[in-house]
Amino acid sequence: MRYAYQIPGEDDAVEVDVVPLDDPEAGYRVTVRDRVFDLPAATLRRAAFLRQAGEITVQVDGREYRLYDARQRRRAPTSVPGDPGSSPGQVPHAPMAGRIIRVLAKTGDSVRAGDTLLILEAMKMEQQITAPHDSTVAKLLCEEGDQVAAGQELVVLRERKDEN
Amino acid sequence: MQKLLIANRGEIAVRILRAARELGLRTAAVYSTADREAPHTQLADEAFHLGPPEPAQSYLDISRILEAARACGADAVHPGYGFLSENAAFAEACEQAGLTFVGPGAAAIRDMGSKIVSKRIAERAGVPVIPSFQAPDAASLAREAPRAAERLGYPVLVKAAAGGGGKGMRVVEHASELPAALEAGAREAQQAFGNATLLLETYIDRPRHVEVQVLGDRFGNRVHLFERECSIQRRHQKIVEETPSPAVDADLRQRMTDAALRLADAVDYTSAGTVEFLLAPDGMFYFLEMNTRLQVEHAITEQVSGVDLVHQQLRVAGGEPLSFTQAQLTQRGHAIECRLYAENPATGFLPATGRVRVLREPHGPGCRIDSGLALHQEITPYYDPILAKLIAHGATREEARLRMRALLRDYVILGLTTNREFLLDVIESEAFAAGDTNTAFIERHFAGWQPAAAVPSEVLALAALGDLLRRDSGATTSADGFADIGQSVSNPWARHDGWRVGAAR
Repeated sequence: MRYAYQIPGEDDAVEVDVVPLDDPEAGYRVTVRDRVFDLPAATLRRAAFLRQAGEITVQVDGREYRLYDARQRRRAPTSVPGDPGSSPGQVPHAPMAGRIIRVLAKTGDSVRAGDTLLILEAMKMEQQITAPHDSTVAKLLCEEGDQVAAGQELVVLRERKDEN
Repeated sequence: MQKLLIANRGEIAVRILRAARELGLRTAAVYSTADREAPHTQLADEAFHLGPPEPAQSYLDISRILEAARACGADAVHPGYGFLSENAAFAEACEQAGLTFVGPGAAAIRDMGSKIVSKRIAERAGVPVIPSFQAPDAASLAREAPRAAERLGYPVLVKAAAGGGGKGMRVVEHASELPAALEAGAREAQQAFGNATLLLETYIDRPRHVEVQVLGDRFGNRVHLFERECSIQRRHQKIVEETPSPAVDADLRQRMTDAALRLADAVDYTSAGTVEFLLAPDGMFYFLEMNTRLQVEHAITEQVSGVDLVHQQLRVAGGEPLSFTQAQLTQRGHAIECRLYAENPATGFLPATGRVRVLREPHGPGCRIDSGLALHQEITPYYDPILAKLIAHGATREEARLRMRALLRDYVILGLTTNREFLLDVIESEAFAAGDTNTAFIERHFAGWQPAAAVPSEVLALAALGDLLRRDSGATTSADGFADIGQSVSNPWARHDGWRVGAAR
C-alpha cells in the first residue's frame, strides 16, 4: 500500500510504502525516505492519531505532528502557523472564533496601516483587527455583537493609489 | 447544609461537585446552552439551564442563578473562581435569599477588590506595599513627578490608576524620559480605561510572583498553607505554578506568611483566600492583591499540605471550626501544576476552538488531573480557555518535574490546538529545571516559540501504518475518522463509532 503525505512548509509530498511481512504476527515493513522500519501493529500504541478531512494529526513521544493526505487534493497551508505572514492583525480576517465587540471603522473611512478596524473577543481575550496597509474601507462584513468563525472575512479594504 | 448549587462550569465545577458529594451533600449544576453536554452538567444530581452561552446571560446572571437555587431547594452556593466569585453583590444577594455563600463575607470581598482600599488596609496592617506616588490632578502630577520619581528611585513605573492586566504601563529609566512617558501614559490610559489618571511606582525588575494561601473559620481561627510560586505567566496569566517556591527559605516564608495572616486578620477573613506578593531579586516582597476565592492553582497546595481546600471551604461555610492548627500543618514534598489551555502559543497565545476528538488522560502515583473534559466535547469561544490542570507531586522538586514531564508527554488531546507542547518545552527547559523563574520567563526564554516543523521518518511510518490499519478495520465513514488508542475518558452515551488498534477485527 502506498501513501503520500504533504508536510506543512515542504514542497514535495513524501511517499510511504507499507507491506505486510511474511510472518503476519511480525507486522509490517514500512519504507519512507529510503529508511525501512519493520513495525508490529502494537507499535501504534505509542502513538495517537486523528484524521479529519485529509488532515492527519499524530502524537508520538509527546510531540504532535500535522500531515495532509496528498491524494485528497487538500494542500498543506503554505505558511506555518505563527508565521509573520499569517500573524493576527495583519489581514482583516478573524484570527480566531469569537464575538465582534467593537466596530471602529466605517464604510468610506481612510485608514492607515496599523489602524484598529474592529475588536474581537474570545475566551475573555480581546484581539484588535488592524489595517494591513493604507487603504479605504470598502465594506464592513460584520456588526457589533456578531459571532464570527476563525478565518472569516470581516472587512473589505480597497487599496489607496491616489495618495503619496 | 444539604444541597450545594455550584455557580460555575468546567473543571472547577467538577472539582467542587466531587468534594461536595464526598461530604454527603447533594449537588446542583447550572449551565448555559453551550454547556448542555458538558461534564459538570452531566455529573451533578440536578442541572439548571441558565440561558444563552454569553456569560452575561448565563454564568454572570445573578437573578437566574438565585432562581435556580430556589427552584432546586439548594441551601448553599459555591461560586468557584472567575465569574461571580469576587462579586460582593452576589455574596450579599445569596445571604439575603437565605443561601450560604461558600466564601468570605461581602465586606472582605469588597475591600480586597479595590486596589486603593486593599493597599491602604495592607499598609495599616504592616504589610509591605510597593512605594508609589499619586497626585490629585494631571497638572500637579507633571509638576511634582520629577521629585517623586527621584524619591522612589529610578527606574520607576508610570501606570494607569484605573489599569490592570499590564495595559498602559511604562518603565522610565532616566529623569529625561519622564515627561514624555507621562504624556504618552495619560493618552494610553484615557484610551484604554477612559481615565487618564496616572501613578508612579518603584519599578521591580524581574520579580517572582509568590502568593500565600490562607484559610479562616467563623470563630476567628486562621492558618496559612504556605506559599505558591506562579512566576511563569503569559499575558499576565499564570500557566505553571509550584510549591514550595525555589526562592523562598524558612526565614522568608515566616515573614511572608506572617504578613499574609496580618492582612487576613485585618479584614476578618473567613474561607480560603490568597495574598499575592511580588518578590524582588533582593529578597524584598510587596503586597500585590488579595484574591477572595479559591484559586485555580489551589491543587498544588492540597498535594503538599494534605488539606482538601474545598472540603474546608464547605465545612467553614457550614459553621464548623477548623479541625487543625498551624502547628499541625507541614509541607510534604513538592508539587507543580501546568494549565492546559485551548490556545496557540505560536500565534501569541490566541484562543483556539474545536471539538475534542481524541482524549487520553494519564494517571499514576503523584499525578492528578483536574479536568472538565469529555470526548466529543465542543470547546466554544465563550469562556476562559482552560481545559484541564495537570498536577504532579513528588518527594523533591526534580521528582515532581519529571512526573510533570511524563504527564505532559502522555496526555493526549487532539482535535483542537492546545499549549501542551509549549508547556512540555517549559518543563524541559534548563531555566525551569534550575528554578530560575520570574515573571519575564516566557519573554526571556520562549519569545517567538514555534513547534518543531520537521516530521521524522518514523512518525511518517507510524502515520502510514495507522492509515493502513484504519482501513483494514473498515472504520472509514465515521466523521471522527481515527479514534483514540488506549483508554479514553468518554461518555459511553455520547460515543460515536470509532476504531481502535488492537481491538478484535
